[in-house]
Amino acid sequence: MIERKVAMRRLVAVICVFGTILISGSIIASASRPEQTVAPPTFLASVVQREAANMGDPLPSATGFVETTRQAAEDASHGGKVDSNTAVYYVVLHGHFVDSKAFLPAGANSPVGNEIDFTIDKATGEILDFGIGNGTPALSRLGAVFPVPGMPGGL
Amino acid sequence: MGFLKRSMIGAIVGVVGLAVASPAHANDHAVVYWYNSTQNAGASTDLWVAPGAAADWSSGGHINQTLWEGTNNTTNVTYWAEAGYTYAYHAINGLWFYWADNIPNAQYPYHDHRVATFQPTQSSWANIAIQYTCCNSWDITIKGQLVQSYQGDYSESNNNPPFSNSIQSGLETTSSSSYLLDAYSANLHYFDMSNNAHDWTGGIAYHDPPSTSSWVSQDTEMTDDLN
Repeated sequence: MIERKVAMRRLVAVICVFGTILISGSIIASASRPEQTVAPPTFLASVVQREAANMGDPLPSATGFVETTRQAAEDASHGGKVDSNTAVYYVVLHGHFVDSKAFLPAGANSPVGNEIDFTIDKATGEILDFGIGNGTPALSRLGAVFPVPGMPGGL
Repeated sequence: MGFLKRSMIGAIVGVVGLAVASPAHANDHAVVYWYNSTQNAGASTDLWVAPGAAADWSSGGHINQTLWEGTNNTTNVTYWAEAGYTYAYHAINGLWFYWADNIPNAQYPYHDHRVATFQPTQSSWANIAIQYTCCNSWDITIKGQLVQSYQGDYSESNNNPPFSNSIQSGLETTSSSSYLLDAYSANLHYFDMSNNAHDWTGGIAYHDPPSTSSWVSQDTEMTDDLN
């Protein structure tokens, strides 16, 4: 009888420990994965897919975007100063890219890189800034990072 | 055997990766360029906003009339800042001012930007200037006035070292089916270290057929065309 009680107590203790681990785990997971309360407009995915294809890699290996402002996005990568500071989606893609239609002087080769980043005007869905290189802008410093719908995350 | 297999797969992936990542065909131009120019701290020109259209706009193509300023003391525009007007920008059809740069930075070398606060007017002149200020920054000036940013400052190409030993102006296109009718770059000047303006005395006209370029007035005004 006593043995049975001890066994029962041990079972309850084990269940409590596992329960605590599960609950705390889910709390940590939900804290590190921000919930997207409002779905991004449908143009976001189509603009990103088009840009990735135009840059030679329609299947990026990793994607991420944040909602921020134009100058903040520029400060996160190239550092140029732009002429407006509208609300934008700032998108970063990893893959194998060639900007075969970059703005270039005569004699220059098309820029290549494993990263492209661009801003999309939230109001118009048009690209305002574009870059290609080999860095990874610190998206998380600008806000909650989400994968581009229909594409892998990882950034 | 496993190692061999992995090595072969690695080699194939590497070759495919190289094939994808190799620099592709660069664009066609009709320009005046001056490589190994007199060292300068900037350049300017008046661009005639000519009628045009980009045939390949939906795939990211464009046709533009532009001023390129070499930076980082490069003698053939290896690094640069550029500004001008473009028909089409990143698969949106339209007419905009834009600027771009390629800086000596391994992580983020190339960027381009659409000017969002005002647009070109067809069949009018637009002054473009790119001038070194300090601290690896170049001001971008469009339409005779500094482009005002939301910060009350200017559009700037930053992290882009001085000075310049190469300049260029004229037409660039990503498709020979696009057109730009009788564009001009007039009042071609560079600025010496004391900010005095001088003509492009070493400029050479160059074009990729079917586009054309030639001097209208030697050293100061060129014209280009693609139709």
